[in-house]
Amino acid sequence: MTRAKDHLVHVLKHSAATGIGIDDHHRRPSNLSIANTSLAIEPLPGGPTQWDVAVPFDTKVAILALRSAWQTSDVGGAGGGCWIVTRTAYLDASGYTHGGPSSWQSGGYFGFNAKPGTSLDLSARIFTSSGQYVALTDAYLAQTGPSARVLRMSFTNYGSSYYTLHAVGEVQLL
Amino acid sequence: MDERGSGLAVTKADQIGGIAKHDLFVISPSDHHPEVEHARIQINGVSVAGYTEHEHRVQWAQDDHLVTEVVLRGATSGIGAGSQGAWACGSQTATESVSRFSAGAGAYTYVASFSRLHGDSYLSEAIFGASIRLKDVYIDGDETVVVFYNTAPSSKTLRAWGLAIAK
Repeated sequence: MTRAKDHLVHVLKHSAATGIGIDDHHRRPSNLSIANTSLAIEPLPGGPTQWDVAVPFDTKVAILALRSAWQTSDVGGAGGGCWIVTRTAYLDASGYTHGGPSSWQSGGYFGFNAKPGTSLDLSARIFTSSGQYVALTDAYLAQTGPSARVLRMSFTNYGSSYYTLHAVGEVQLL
Repeated sequence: MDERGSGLAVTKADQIGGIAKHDLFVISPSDHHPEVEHARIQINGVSVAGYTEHEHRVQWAQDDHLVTEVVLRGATSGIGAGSQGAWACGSQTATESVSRFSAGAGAYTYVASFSRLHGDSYLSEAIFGASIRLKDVYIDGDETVVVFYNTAPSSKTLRAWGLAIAK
């Protein structure tokens, strides 16, 4: 049996030592399914075009996994990638992608990108239904109101006309 | 209790209210914090009959985990020093599993993403023994369930090593 006094000491330690309040020290991880196959991505020199996904306000880290429709291998998988996204500017998203048009249908290439490492993009240009032109340029957790936060993804279109985004996947919110 | 933070200053009254909620649900200070758990996965030589599933269950101390991840290597070496494998994440439901990465065999090492949620049948190539694929990863109560499937008519030998976490 836990005494009320134990609860009180516990909570006060949180507030005094860490500044973590009663609400946000109860935060739990969660999964979120996301998909966007309709967003028109503006070509350069316009853009990047943003896709915002609402997340719990207290989200500190998002592990983002996206894939496109374009088949990168001969066994059914698709082009895609995975990124770790944080709230802080000096810990911008980093991750890897694979896929994209290639003469090797069974040899999808992959690469690692990190915004602190001055990469222009966080992915190969794979996020259309044809697996071309559109790259994930940035991803971060943005506060959009007193108690509102979004996972903001920016996409750059390197083609010469508008292309429609094709990105589906899952986010783990921590 | 609300899982979302308000972003506003927390008063002592809020904290006392929070304590009352704790007592209401009989959650103690020691166990109300979500803990990350981890475990080794070691499957070495399990026979899987043709066109059947094999479930590998990882038991956790807690029954309230919400997300899980597994990193597995298969039985066959790739081009580099490592082996083929997969990295998959799942949640409490079987329909929200996504494989993030799977490196397969062939003249070139290829990688691919899979998503059960968005229509793929499997979460990896057949890299866990001839014709055995990773099919799903999800949380069932206090267990992470890793599902393999033998896509061939005859029995095959499953081999997979790695780690699982739940949080």
